[in-house]
Amino acid sequence: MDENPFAPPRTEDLDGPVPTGDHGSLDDEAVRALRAAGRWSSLAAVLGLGAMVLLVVQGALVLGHQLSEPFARFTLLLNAVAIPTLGPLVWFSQGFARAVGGLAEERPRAVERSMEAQRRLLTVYAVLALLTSGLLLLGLAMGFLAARRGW
Amino acid sequence: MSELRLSELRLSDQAVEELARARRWAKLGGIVSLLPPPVVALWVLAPWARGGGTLSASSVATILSTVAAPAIAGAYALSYARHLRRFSEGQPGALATAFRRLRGLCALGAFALLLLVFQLLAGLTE
Repeated sequence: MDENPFAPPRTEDLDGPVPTGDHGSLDDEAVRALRAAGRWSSLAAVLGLGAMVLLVVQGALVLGHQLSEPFARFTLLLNAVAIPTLGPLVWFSQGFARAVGGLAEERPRAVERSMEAQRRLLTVYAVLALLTSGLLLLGLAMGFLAARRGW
Repeated sequence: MSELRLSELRLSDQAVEELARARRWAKLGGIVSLLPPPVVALWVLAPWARGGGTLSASSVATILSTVAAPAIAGAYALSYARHLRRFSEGQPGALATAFRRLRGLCALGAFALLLLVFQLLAGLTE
């Protein structure tokens, strides 16, 4: 901060408290809710990882011709979209859970890291919502057009 | 929680800035999540209404996975964003409510992924 070096020294009596950029503290209830969110997020990350493994196994089975042929291409296409979609979700869910865990372990800058991880998780949520909603509406529009034209 | 802990868990400028960004993303995600459910519901329910009232199990599953889940997630995300806005307007208690909505959103995500795992397991063991 640029301050005049010739200015008289600040005193709290005359000038009031020095602004610290502090916006209050996290109350117990907020910390409890945040930590519970972290636990659910950790569970979601584990389940997402499990789903990714199962999708890979399913894809391998399809490639090995163990599933019926007309279903195979659709399954592979679905897996090719689902696996990269789940990846960031798993990564940022685990990141959020780890950051929130830092609150209990009293790590330095744990609050900032928790809020940053929270913002990243919600960014991923919004991007995935945009993608899935867009694809869903596109699919419905194409289905509607195909039905009208008798394809 | 001890006094020492409380003094450590304080919201800095950076934390509040991150919360403001999280609020904007949650609002976008919430609105976008609420867009498809009515369209999908119309798409699924219109033939059902014309056909005289028999709804197949697959239609119910489609409604649950593509209508109910995104709609609930969208509602939670918008509620989270609204409570964060209230917090930014000077209501300190709104922060805990916002984090409870975030907890609900995470629980819903975990539940949706659990359903996906069960669905995949059922498909693989058929």
